[in-house]
Amino acid sequence: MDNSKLLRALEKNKAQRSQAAEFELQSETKPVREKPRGADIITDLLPQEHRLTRQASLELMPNPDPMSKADMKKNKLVYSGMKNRAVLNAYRELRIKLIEKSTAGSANTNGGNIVVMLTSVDVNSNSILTPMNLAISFALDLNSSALLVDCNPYGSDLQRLVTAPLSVGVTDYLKDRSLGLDRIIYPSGIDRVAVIPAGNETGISVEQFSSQGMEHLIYELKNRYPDRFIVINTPPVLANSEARVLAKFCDQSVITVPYGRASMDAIEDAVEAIGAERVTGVVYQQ
Amino acid sequence: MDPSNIKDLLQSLKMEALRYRYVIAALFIAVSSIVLVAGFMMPKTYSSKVILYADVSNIIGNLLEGQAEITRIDRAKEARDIVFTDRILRSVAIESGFENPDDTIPRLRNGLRISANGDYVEISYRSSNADTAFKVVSAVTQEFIEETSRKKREESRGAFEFIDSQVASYQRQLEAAENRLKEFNSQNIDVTEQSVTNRVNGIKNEIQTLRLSVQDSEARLRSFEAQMLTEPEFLTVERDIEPTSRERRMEAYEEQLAELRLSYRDTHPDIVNLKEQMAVLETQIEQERINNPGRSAVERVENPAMTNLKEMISNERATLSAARQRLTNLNSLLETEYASAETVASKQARLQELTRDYSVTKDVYEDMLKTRENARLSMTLDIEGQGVTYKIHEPPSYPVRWDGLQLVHFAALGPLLGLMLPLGLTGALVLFDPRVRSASYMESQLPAHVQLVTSIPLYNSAVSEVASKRSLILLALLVLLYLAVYGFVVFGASPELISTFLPTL
Repeated sequence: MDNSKLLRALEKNKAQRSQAAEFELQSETKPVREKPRGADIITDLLPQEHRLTRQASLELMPNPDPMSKADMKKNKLVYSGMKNRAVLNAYRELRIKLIEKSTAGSANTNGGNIVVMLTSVDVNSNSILTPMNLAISFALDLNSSALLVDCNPYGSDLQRLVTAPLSVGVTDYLKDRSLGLDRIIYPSGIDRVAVIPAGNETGISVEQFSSQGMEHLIYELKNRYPDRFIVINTPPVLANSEARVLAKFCDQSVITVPYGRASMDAIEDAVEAIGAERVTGVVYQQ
Repeated sequence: MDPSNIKDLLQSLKMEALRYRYVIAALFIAVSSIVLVAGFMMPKTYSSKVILYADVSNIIGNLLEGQAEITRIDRAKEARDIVFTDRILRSVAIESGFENPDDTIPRLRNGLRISANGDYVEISYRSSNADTAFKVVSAVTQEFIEETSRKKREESRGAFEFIDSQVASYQRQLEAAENRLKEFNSQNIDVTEQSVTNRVNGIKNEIQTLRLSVQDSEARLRSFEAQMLTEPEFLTVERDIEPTSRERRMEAYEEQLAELRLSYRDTHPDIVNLKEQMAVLETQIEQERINNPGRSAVERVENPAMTNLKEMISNERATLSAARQRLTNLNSLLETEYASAETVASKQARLQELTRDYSVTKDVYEDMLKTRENARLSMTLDIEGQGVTYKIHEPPSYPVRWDGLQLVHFAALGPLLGLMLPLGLTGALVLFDPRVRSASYMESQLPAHVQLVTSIPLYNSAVSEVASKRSLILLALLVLLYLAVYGFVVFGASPELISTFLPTL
């Protein structure tokens, strides 16, 4: 069912390619739904010019159990209109810089989606809060959505941050391709933010993440909707190898430095581990 | 450090303090209670002190300034010299009630502090027991004052007795010198050169006069003797006889001749006749005389001049021999005087020596007499307690609190240290821990190819972010409770109670 929805969106975007110049106005006022053309989503690797318009996926994302602002506050998630604007602004700035960075080097200035990997230098931290907030900040834009992929097989606190009950996730999918993508994508309870949990098959996660299947998955996730930003959460880079292997499939890699957790040497080691050319920058977290 | 760094530092401090709140609270409680217990347990020393005033300025002292000798010494040294003797310390130990006086002497000697500021002498003693400190200081004061007055009296008496004995010995010397001088003077009267010269001159004059008179006498004697030779022994006295006719004629002729000669020359015949007649007459008269010698009446008598002369000569001879005898005597006297003039110089020297001896001894003796009177006065002053006396300026104090930090200080110090130590540790952690605690610091330290994308502030306030409010309130309550107990222990409990209570723990 989800697949058909996605296909519908695809079709609709194709139809509106010619109107790309004024899509911003249209997206604000009159989102259009069209039945997608039947096609294989995995193999349908569309060229850049055939990208879907941004508003395509937005209305397709269900949010059956919206999270209340009180819960968001309790979970330390950012939301528009929150009191502590500094935090919100910081995530916004992060978002803007990431997008700027991805568009700076290329001719593509229409602000296509990006895949951002976040990893922490704190070897003891398995919190997914920052990637979640980044995802939310991407989704704050009404014309964008965000998908948080939790690639930390060592137990993150994702379930705590979302309203939907999580079961199978990315590792399960990689092990058994017969699982549909729609099985592993869960609504988060926050508008325009979906999540993919790590799943249960965590034994060989490094190998799974470095596999072609993973590469394909990310490629597909990215290219399915051009307005959907992908945020990948990885376990701490200095303790595990997941971040290193996943960085290869991502557009941007960000290292978070929590307060009082890592020395400058550790930060440099982390940059080194991922590869300096892949690291967009570091984010300091008070 | 720029302001942002300081801000970061403070922020980090706050974060860490919140993070380690339990440790900090525990450290606070532990440190403050350890300090307090240390304050209770600390061996306490009590010190008692007395201030004595060395009273030298009294009425008599002023009246007799410069006359009565009042000894001036370094008060602290004097007091130390007296107090630190074994004898005094032993009696102090006995008076203070120590069980083993001889063993406590070194302890007393170590514990006693004596210092002086001008005429004020301070004696203090430290002990772990307030009673002991007070008793020791009281005993030392008493002993010291007694000892000084006794010593002072003894000193003055000793000085007086010494001077007295010196006076006696000088008196004997003076008497001896006086006697020697007297004896010498009695043996050598007029030993001056002047007197000898005078005497010699006198004798010489006398001798000269005497010689002259001797010569006179001799001359006189010689003339007397010569006169005696010429003077007849008897004188012939002639009686007057009647002239004869011829003689009368003769006389007439002569008158006639004289008259003739007035008118005539001798050749005048008358004159010639006359002369012839006269010559004839003359012859006749002669004839007659030869013929008649008896006719003249001559009588022989003793010569009175002769007798006179004889008398004078014998007188003169006696005088002469007496003068000669006198001359001889004078000469011998002169010889004696010459001999005595030769020894007069040595006698003079001897006299001077004796005189000097005498006068020096006399001077010293007189000085000594004066000094003895001064010493007697000093002694009298000291005996009557009018010399240097130590008065108790500030009586021995009973130490009500121990030396050094009081319990209150410890009580104040405890929480202070309890705060400072964990906060200092936190500060050290922030400053020296290499982990990144500041965005600006991290940015400055990042390699050039890595950039700081952004800095995400805390979602909530630091308090609710790091520490739960409940835990903080609980902690605060705990600390308050602890402080209440602390305050009760400090102010509510007396040290005695605590010290009896502590060992039972």
